Amino acid sequence: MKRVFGLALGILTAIGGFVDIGDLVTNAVVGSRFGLSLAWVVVVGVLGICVFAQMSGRVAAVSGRATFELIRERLGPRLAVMNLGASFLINLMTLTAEIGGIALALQLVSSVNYLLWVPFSAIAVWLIIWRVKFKIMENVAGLVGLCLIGFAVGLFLLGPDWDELGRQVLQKVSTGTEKTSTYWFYAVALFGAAMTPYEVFFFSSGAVEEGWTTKDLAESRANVLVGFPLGGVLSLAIAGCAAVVLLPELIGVTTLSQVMLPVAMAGGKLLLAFIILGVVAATAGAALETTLSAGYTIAQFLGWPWGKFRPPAQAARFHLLMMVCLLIGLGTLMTGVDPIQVTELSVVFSAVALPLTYLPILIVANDPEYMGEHVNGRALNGIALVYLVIILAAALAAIPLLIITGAGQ
Amino acid sequence: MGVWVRAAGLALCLVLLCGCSQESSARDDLIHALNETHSAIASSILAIRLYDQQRSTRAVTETVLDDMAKQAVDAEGALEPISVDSAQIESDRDAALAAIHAGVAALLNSRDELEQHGAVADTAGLESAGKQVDALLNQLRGSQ
Repeated sequence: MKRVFGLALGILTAIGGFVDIGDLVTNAVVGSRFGLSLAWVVVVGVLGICVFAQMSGRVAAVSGRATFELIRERLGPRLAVMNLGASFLINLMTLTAEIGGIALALQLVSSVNYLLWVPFSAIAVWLIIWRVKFKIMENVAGLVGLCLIGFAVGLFLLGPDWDELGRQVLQKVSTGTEKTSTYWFYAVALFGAAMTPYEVFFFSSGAVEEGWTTKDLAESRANVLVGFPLGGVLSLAIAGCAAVVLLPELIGVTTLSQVMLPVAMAGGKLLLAFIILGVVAATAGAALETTLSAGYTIAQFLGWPWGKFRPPAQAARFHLLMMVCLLIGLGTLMTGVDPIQVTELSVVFSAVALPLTYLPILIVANDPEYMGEHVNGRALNGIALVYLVIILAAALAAIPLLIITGAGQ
Repeated sequence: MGVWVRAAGLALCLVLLCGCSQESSARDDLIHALNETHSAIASSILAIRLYDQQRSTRAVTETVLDDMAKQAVDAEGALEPISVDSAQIESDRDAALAAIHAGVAALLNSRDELEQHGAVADTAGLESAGKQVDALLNQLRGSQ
């Protein structure tokens, strides 16, 4: 019974924790401009993150060590530093976007300008990391994040023409104003949002934090293979709500407040309250994960003591590093930079960094010295190689598309 | 002699192409600014309607109006650097500026009205500005 409860809890937190500010904004923007014609990218992205997240979780459970430690040991510091540099910078950008996301969501509750909420959000994230236990932190954020299911409820309440939505999935929607290059720019951005690197680092380091062993492999696999795809359904629901209400009015989403309009139309104030609570929880959960991931990556690379399972005094550099990253994110947002633009850039640059993140994981997962009998099978390697080709194509196309389209404008 | 004629022809083609692309780029910028304003006005009308129907909260409506007013102000500011090198572009830019300015004024009015009185009496000003923006958008798209 306890095991079933643990499994259900893991799946629920995986669903609630899947959506972050990048998914929220990018799916709403895409829904309002292209309908559901980029739904295929969400499907491809979710499958990709399932492949690599369960791989890195398995590496951590079998070896008892987090992915980054093994990458440095297996590939050597020179190659690993490229992985570290790319992952850390993208993670820092994502952390900044998530802190901005919490502040924007709190503005929706209070009408108080988000800039006043930014320091509060950063301090709250730091306090939670400092004081709250890993398991509680992860479960509360994930479970409250489930309020975002309200987007799926909202889509049903809107009573859309399902045939029309189905047609949008199968063919490119044209409002006569969008260029093909913009379509592909957002395809890359959606892919980057679904496969954000921090999710994998957090997943593998979390496995070490919680002391997973090979006995937990089935549960970890179920969390990923059931939780993440259901999280992907939430992403599609966000795009669907925007496609039903905003696309016909030619309203292009540029702010988080616009994302709330279809929700209010569908379910009134009650649903709106649920969704705002869900957005606060989802962005706060992701801010916690990215802050921890910033500490994990550097500490694991440099061999410092790390983890929330240690008291802060025993992992002082790990905690100091996280504080510095939060201060950098806070400082960046206080310059007045638009958090939504930071979010859009972070998902595009995520796409650029993907090969450097996922190739080393594939190499380690194939090393019998670390993995023993749990090395990747042929089928999984085949799928992973196909994904590496897609990842490489997305990474190469990201910057040219960013320039050509003026960041999707 | 033949080489010089071809070179001159090529240069002429390049000048014409550059001229055309510049005009097209200026028109694209105008259309982009008008699209942004259309989106801001339509979002605000929707937000006010939902608030009137008590389906949305005051905080969300205020945030939408504030965000959209900023978006329209940014769209107006984006027209300033557009270089005018033909009478047609100049006339289009002036018309766009007038339409966007009307939109900005209507958005700021609605935002202030909501902040001061807790409600927006009517959306006529926004709707009228929206129609002006849409008419110009259709005209510019038609001439593309």
